Amino acid sequence: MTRREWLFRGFLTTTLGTAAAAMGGIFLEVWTAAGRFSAAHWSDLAPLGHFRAEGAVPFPSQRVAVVRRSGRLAALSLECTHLGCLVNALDQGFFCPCHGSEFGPLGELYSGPASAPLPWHPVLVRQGRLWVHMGKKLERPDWVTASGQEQEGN
Amino acid sequence: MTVPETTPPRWITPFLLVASVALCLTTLAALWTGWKKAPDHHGGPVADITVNLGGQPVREHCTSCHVAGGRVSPENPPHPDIAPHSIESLGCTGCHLGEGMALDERISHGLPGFGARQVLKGKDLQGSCFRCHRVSSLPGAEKAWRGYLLFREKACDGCHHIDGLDQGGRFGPDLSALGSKRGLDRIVEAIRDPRKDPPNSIMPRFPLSRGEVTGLAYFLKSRVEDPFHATPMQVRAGQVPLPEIPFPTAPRHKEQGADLLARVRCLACHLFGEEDGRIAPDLSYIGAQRPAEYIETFLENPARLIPGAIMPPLPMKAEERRSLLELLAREAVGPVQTHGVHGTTPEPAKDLYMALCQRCHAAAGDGHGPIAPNLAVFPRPFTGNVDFFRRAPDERLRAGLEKGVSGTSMPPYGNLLSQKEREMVLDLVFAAFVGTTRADKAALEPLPVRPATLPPPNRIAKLFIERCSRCHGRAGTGRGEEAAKHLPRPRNLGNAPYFAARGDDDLARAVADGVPGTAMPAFREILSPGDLWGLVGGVRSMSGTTGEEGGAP
Repeated sequence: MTRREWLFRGFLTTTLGTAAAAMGGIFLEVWTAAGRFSAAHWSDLAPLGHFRAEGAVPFPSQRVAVVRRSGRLAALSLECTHLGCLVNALDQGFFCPCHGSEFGPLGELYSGPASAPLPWHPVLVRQGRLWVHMGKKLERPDWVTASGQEQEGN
Repeated sequence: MTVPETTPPRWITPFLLVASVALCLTTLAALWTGWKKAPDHHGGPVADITVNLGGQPVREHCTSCHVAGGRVSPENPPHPDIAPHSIESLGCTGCHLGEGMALDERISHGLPGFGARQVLKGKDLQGSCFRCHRVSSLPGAEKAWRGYLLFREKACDGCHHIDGLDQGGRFGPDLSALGSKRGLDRIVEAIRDPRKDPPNSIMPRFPLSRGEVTGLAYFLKSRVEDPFHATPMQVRAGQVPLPEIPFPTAPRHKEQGADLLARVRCLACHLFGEEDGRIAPDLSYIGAQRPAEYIETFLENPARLIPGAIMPPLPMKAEERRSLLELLAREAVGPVQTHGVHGTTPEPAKDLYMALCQRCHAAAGDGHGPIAPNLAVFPRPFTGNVDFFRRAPDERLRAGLEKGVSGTSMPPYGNLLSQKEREMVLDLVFAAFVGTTRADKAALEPLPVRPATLPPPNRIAKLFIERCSRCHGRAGTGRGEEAAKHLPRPRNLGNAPYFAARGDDDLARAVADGVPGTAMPAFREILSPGDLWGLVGGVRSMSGTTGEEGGAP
């Protein structure tokens, strides 16, 4: 290898490496930023102490309701599967004010025009608070035990 | 297998040729006449302006036809003076809407359908003021401002959320961006006749004048996704608050206490003394009729006590709720104010009926009272319903009047009316509407005997789907596909307070012999006793009741 060759190769490697690193950094930034502004990430909903009674606690601004059944919690989407209106949480279930679709207390479809039950969102408990992942929709409830709360209560 | 060869007739080729040429010529002629007739801007010079609207460049061709912004006519009348605005800096579509780049009149003036971009002109331009200006009492936007006041006064925000109001309800559809989705005509129509689309809408028809509806529609038309006074993000985050206004907006309440009721906006729907919202039941005597705990629970969650009630749960400060309950317990008691016609012979029963019953059961006794369409359960009709009243035991009717019918809007009158007065009203209902005497009762066939073992639940579930679900719905919520055909509507079988107060025999009677005056048919001949009693059990499990707590005698 001549000196000229060595210099040329070194110059090329450094330039390409720097360019690749810069591009990678930019892509990484865009990638993380895209997640930051969408709902497709885990978001903190409320402390577990919020859900002491059986039934549904609606969070209309987050478009989600937390359902408690025999000491377990799950998050139900409040978006009507017909046209995406926000459904009302009632004792008997959920009612869509736009076109009158009715859903049962676990989001099961009672009457149309909606054609599918309300979907569920994944949940997890972290440091005594309930977190919900709005970006993912599940067909079955993802139950977590509200154990943190039980320990607090006793 | 071979197809026998046939030769086509010789004339077919020239015929097809001529036909296709004729078709082409007709199409071209139709296109040409349409092109000539349509008041479109074809071929002429295209005017092109660009303005800066809220930081966005907006390009428009409107002035191609509307020379100098005026109306299209040979005289070219100029645009009216709109100082301090100027056409040069604002362009046309910022206020008038429409599609500025289109050259076809039908497109540029906003496509029909929902009509979100339909052109606003004349007085309707007030629907655009609050797209740029913040909501305030702006000169020139008086009707739109009045619309905002009405929106608050009539408690529209009790059900409908609007960005900028921190106490927005979430009971009805979100109206934060209604102006970007619907045209002015559609908004006016939706307020004037909510049940036109969709027919099962639960929104009541508010008694508003034409001008009031227009004002409301102007205000709602200005609620858009991309206002010019703030970024959409700021609006969404509630950083652009709508102005607070004092309630009541007009000092017109003579009644003591009506002030507070107006402030928490009960009077937007309810009646209290002389103030009438003409949507919901009379609260004038509610303190004597319902215990304070009932009212408190009801305010928190109306649908718990009356399933299907259209009243939204209203967010209320604890102290406001306390003073409201105190006020109702203190002021909303008897004696009943009647408005008898003076100078004639006194008719106390008639006066009581008109003061207390007429609002729901109607002056004609047919159940179509002024507020009946807004109630969760249709009021029992008296007129033309003699079969029902011949079957209902007198004790049940008396108990209904004294203790009310739980799970429905029928309140108890036990504390408000003396026993003598209640008997008087019942006598009047029978004499004036039912058309028989109270002693005239039908002989009831004995109910089928309840067998020791009932059919298995899956058979009952299948039977329910087969026989009941068309009206009562698959889940028994009373909204089956045929429910809308019937009035009174099919009973919501999940109405726990109602069914808790009814005995098993009542339910079995309704299934076996039907309910006169409603669409409920008799199943005595169709179902075996086991199936019939099994369905009674099915209703019990749907409503989550046992039938042991109550039961009519």
